[in-house]
Amino acid sequence: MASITLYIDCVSNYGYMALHLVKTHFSGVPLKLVPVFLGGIMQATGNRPPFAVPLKGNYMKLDAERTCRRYNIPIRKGFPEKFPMPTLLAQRVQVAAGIALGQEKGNTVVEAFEKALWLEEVDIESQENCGAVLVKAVGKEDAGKVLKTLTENTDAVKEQLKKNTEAAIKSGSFGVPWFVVKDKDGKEDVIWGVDHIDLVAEMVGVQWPPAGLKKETAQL
Amino acid sequence: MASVTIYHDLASTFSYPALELLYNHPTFTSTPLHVVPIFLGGVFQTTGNKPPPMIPAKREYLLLEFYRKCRKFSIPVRPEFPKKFPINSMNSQRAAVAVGLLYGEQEMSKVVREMGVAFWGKGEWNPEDKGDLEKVVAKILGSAEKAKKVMEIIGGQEVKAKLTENTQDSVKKGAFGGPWMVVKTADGKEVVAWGVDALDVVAEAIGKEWPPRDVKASL
Repeated sequence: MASITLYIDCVSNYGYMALHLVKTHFSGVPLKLVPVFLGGIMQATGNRPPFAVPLKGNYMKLDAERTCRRYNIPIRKGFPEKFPMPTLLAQRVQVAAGIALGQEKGNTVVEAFEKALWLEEVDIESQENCGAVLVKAVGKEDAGKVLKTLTENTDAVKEQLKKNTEAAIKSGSFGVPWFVVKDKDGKEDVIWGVDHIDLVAEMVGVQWPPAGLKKETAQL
Repeated sequence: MASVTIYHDLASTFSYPALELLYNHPTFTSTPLHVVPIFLGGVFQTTGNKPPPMIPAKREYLLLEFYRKCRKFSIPVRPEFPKKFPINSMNSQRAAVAVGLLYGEQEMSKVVREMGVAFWGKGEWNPEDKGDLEKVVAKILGSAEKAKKVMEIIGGQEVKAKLTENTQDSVKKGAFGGPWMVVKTADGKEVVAWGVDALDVVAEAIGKEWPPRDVKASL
């Protein structure tokens, strides 16, 4: 059976875009969302974020806008004032959710953080806001369980985030979004970036570009 | 009328499939294509960017993606990746510019394209070897005499200056890597696109669709 594992850090707008496309167009495919710490991947691989090169940063903004328009991905207008922001806490909350509540609810929390930052313009750097995103995603009771895990098993949470990040690196990642995809015959491939989502589609047997896309008058 | 300009360096892996598709695929063949040889090393230097192969994990992925891309669109590709990578393309780029100065844009485009086919498509020559370079140019131009003239001027000021000018032009248009494409749309707008991955942007700017519905029928 085909499956998708997606490694993301909410700091990446491309991660948000990739997740949106996966949820919208590959909804029948088992999905595992793995929160990683992008800073850790950068450090381990010697890579740098795109905006470390000004012209690249400019292009990435244009490219992201165009991609969102092409695929009708709802996204905030413009980047957060502080960008990139530290996401260590946000990532740890997502990891803690996976530990405390299991994969499915863990996925829900990952999604919630992505949407919070990239659609709802929430400042996910603050502890208070992270708590609010969590409660909104899974309700007060489950949020309580997550926060308990986060505060009482802090080392386990830190260790798991580290493990997730190392798993991404080990499979070849130097950035996010990083896909590890299995096709229906069990063949596994690694795929990087929203740019290559056509390869993900191919592997899981979904037509790409998706049939249902409204052909808007392109204003490039 | 719409037109596509590709700023191209033989050293740039993905410039090969990009140019092959722009040159051959029905989606793009009815739009005038301008091939401008640049020196990608100069782009990296000016912009502060790093060549992808400097990062081992990125290098690995580049190889993987390169073969996947070529396979997907049935673009001929050398069975083994060059052992020395990245290559130093200074001479091949100067040779391309020299061909342009001596024999015009059409011959220059032909030389750029066929150097790429011979290197990335077939692994037939070493761009860092001047002897190989002269042979390849002679073969493409169909004249040993013409190739000799090319080799005579590649170290000269005029060629160097033109290559630098092309390179700086690409950076002025926003380039930080290759392939860098600039589309002039039918209503006079300019659209920039980076990488073989962005051919959908190029296609849309010229009123076409990419990738084509039936990829297997490509080329």
